[in-house]
Amino acid sequence: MSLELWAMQAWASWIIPLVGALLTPLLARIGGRARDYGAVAFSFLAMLMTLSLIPLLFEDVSWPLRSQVSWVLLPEAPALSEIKAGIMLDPLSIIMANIVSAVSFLIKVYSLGYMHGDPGLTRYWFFMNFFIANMLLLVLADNLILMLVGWEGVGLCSYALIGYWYQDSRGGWLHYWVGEPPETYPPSHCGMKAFMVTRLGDLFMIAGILILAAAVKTVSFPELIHADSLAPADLRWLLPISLILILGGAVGKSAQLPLMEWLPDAMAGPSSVSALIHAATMVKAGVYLVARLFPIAVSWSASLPATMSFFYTVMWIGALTAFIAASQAIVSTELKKVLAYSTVSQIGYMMMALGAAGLSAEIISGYMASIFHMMNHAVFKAALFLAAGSIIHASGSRFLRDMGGLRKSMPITFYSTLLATLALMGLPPFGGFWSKDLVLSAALSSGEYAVFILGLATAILTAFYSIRMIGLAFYGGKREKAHEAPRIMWAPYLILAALSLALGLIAPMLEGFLEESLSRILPIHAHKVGETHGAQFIIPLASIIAIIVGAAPAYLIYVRRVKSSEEIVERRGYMRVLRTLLVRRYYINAFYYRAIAYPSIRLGCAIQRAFESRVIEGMNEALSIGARRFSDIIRRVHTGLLNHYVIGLILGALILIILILAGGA
Amino acid sequence: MMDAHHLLLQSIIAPLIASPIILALGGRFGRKVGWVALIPLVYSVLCLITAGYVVHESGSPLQASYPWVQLLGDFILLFDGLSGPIAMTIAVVGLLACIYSIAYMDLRDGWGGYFSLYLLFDAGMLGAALSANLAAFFIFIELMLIASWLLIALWGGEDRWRAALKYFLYTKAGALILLAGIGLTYSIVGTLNILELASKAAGLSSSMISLIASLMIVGFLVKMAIFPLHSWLPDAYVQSPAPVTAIFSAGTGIGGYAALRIIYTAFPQMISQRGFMLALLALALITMIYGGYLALAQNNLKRLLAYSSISQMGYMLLGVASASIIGLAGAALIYVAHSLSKAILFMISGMLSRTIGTDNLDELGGLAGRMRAMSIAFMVGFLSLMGYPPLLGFWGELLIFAGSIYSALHPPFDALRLVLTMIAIIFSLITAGYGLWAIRRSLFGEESEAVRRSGPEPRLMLAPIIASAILLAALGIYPTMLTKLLETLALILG
Repeated sequence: MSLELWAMQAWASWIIPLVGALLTPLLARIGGRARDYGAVAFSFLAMLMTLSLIPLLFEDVSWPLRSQVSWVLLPEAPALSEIKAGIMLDPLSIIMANIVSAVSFLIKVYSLGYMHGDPGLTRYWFFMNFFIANMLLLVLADNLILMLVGWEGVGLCSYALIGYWYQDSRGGWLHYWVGEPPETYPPSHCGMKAFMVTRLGDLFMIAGILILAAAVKTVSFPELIHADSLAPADLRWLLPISLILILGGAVGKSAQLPLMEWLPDAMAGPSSVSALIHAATMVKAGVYLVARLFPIAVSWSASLPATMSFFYTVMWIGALTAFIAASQAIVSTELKKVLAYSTVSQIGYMMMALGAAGLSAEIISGYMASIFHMMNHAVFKAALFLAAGSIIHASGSRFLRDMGGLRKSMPITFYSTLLATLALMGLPPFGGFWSKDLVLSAALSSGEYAVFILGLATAILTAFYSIRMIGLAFYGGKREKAHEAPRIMWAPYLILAALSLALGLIAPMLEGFLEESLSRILPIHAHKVGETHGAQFIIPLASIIAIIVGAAPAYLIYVRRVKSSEEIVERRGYMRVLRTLLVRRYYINAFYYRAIAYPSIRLGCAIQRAFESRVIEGMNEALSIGARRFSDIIRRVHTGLLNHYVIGLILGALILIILILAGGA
Repeated sequence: MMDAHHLLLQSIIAPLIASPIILALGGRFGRKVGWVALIPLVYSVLCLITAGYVVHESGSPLQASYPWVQLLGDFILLFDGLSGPIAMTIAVVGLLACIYSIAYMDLRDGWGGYFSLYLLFDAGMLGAALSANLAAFFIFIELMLIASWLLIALWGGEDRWRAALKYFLYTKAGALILLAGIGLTYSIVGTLNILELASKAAGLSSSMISLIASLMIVGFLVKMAIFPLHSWLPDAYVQSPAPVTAIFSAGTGIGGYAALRIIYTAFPQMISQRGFMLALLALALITMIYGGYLALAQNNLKRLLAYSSISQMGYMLLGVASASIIGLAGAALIYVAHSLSKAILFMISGMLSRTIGTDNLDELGGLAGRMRAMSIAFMVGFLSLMGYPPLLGFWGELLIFAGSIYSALHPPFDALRLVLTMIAIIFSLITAGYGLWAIRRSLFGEESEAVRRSGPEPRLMLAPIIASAILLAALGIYPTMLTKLLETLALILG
């Protein structure tokens, strides 16, 4: 097989950072600079490779382009007899790969300044490059099993980088830990928690994949589109179930309800890691997976109406998560945790749009909305996290209460944060405005008004916590003496912040382009060119009103400081209750610890005490004591007296004789 | 090309012959006798790798028969897609743990005896994996038992005699049940050659076949330490010297291998006995979960690993119970992956006891900054146990689950099996739980007092650990090296 140019570029795009990761320890032998700049260079090359795929989008290509090599052979097996390692290019994977590689390159540059002088840099660069490789593998994979390899690979990097400061130093509590008592955790705990929670989702995903593999005998995306006709008739009912099981993986990875609790605590990692893994790329993998499964589900829904339950599940999970996470962001006392809740909430938007798209007549616009929002969010949230890194560095604490007044001393950081925050709020003309608008309109056109209202309420909360964050970090009187971050740090986030504005300025063109490209990967019957109906102008209006409703009180309280938030909350009982509920994360986190994590360990100990050492060992004891008793009884016969033995001899002989006589008769 | 058939015999004979020589040399060479013991082990590895290559190229199994005790039939050695990977694993792990022994056993005396028994243990395992005659298989199992019993009893920890006796009695009881099964087979079917059993037993009533197969399987369940017959394992593992524990995991898995052989090669009728297979599945599930929870409760690393081994044997049994060739492949891969990862972890546990003076998790902490290479290998070992790609354990778990799900879906649809398999998949989270928690308690956090006083990692102990970790990753990235051999499986599957 002659390898075409696009195939070489696609394979190279994930192999290059992989090689970069493996070379890191060797480069470290040459010297610190060689290692640091080498790592950045590899990610630059990866970006070049994915960028070089973009021209394909403008050509007349019949998607998907695939390039496969033989990988795992199971001769004679009735299913999974050959698993290929395959790369699949289509507009979705090319767009996603470019988001990943471009954002990660900028974050790598930022890391040069942010992580400078850290003793564990070899480990840092290894896992960063290893992450990029696995993420691109995940994006480009053409089948679920290869995707799973990348999927678990990014999970491993996330684990290792959340727990990057694994010493859990108590002295560095203000810097390295996360949360306030009683929910405060050291980095290595947070890494473990992230791993466990996402792994739970992944196990559901594995179960789903295996059901598909057994029922349809294929796991590759292009072939799964027709799986509803491949599966034996009596197994077809399993297909929607397998999709929902696979969704478990997406829910875990993208920190959606009910598996969202790991992401806020993942903020224990370095800010650059939060920006790359826990905002811009890895947590989007769940959305990407749903987007990958989307055409498959649409195609199945024609013959299997039950597939609609997949879209319902996705939509409701997204909508509820968007709202619940946003509500937690308004009380968070840590800068990065505000951003983390916000990330969870925004990903909820993306999920909501995908689910709603599947339920509405205009499939493509909701689908495009989700991808466009993913793109915007990757840009502005990465900018926010990188800026947060600088702010935390300057103020020496991760708590918002230790910040304030940084506007004058860190002007570049301030304006970058401001731009990105406005994009997050969805203010026109930022990119976030357009995509949020599309997300809300998808929700509306699905006909589920409750979802639309949740989306709108989320917009209000988003505006509130965004302004609150800006106000607490940059306004107020404290900390006039902080220094602006070095250029190598602010340049990346300034670029990203500017990009979030630029994306908004070209949004009308970009939307058309995305819609054009993405529509080519959806099944033909999905192409209903629905005319936007008249009520659509309501949405921009509603979303601008939502921004004002949310932003105005936050502006008065946190920027102008007309009234202290404490005063407002303390005076009203229900506000106090509500705040406790939000601060304690709706007790979902506590539930996981009290109902699952600790009881599991206690159960292990209980089994150990009550069963393993009592019953099982008791059985052994009983056997050995029984054996000894038995031997004691037997031993009594051996009296040592000749008379007893002679009697025994005669008795034995008698029995023998009787037996022989009886046998002979 | 040379005649490859005799390679199999040579791989077993080499350590067997070397064993008394080592014993004799022990007095003169002292500790250096360990290096001499490596010679037959390297030779075994080379023989089996060559055999693997030959089988790989020819696409048919390698088989060698030798006239033997006439009554019992020929002495047959078989290297196919199932026994091949198992035997190669034993040889490789045996070699690596022997290198480790040279460093680890430096405070003890009796070098000759130790390495001589070690070679016997190794030969017993290789013989058990390769022989296709049940009588020969039984003899090799007994050889393993006696050699390992003496290794524990003579060079074990403080409580070694009790643990060794418990191990001996349990395994012996299992062996007797196995022997009853073998005896019945011989008297009823008239052959002990497992390759002939399927055709010769075809006429027998299914209840008779069930009886014979069940007897043997129960014997293997003891060997595998399946719940509730597991209680010998934690004590035996904890009391064994670290390198012996390292190969012990390979030895324990032989029970699973033998169960695969008996069900899939000798009595394939059993595959369609739904009740029997579901009973095995249930036992597998209970063992997985039980071992996992107990591992979660342990503070001592070695004991944690011992319970983890019980749990992993549950996974292997799940592959046995999958009633599918996919699951069988998965069980074989689990065997290889588990042997390698447990070799890594037990060798590390021994290394920690040696350099730090303890392997109690609450006395460790912060090792990641002090012992980098060890920390990486430690994680690789646990990640493979968890079934994490791209390590070999991933494929093992994936395939046993896939096999069981496949059997559940394919006619007739079996809802109970599907549900049990789902439970097994979800509960495999426990492995991640005890693994990550052990990693966290030993590698992360602030350095403990004991750790601060520790010396560097001894190179000779580290080398085999790293080698196993590399193998685990290499085989995981390209598992076709092992799975391709499946086409040479000597079995009949419906």
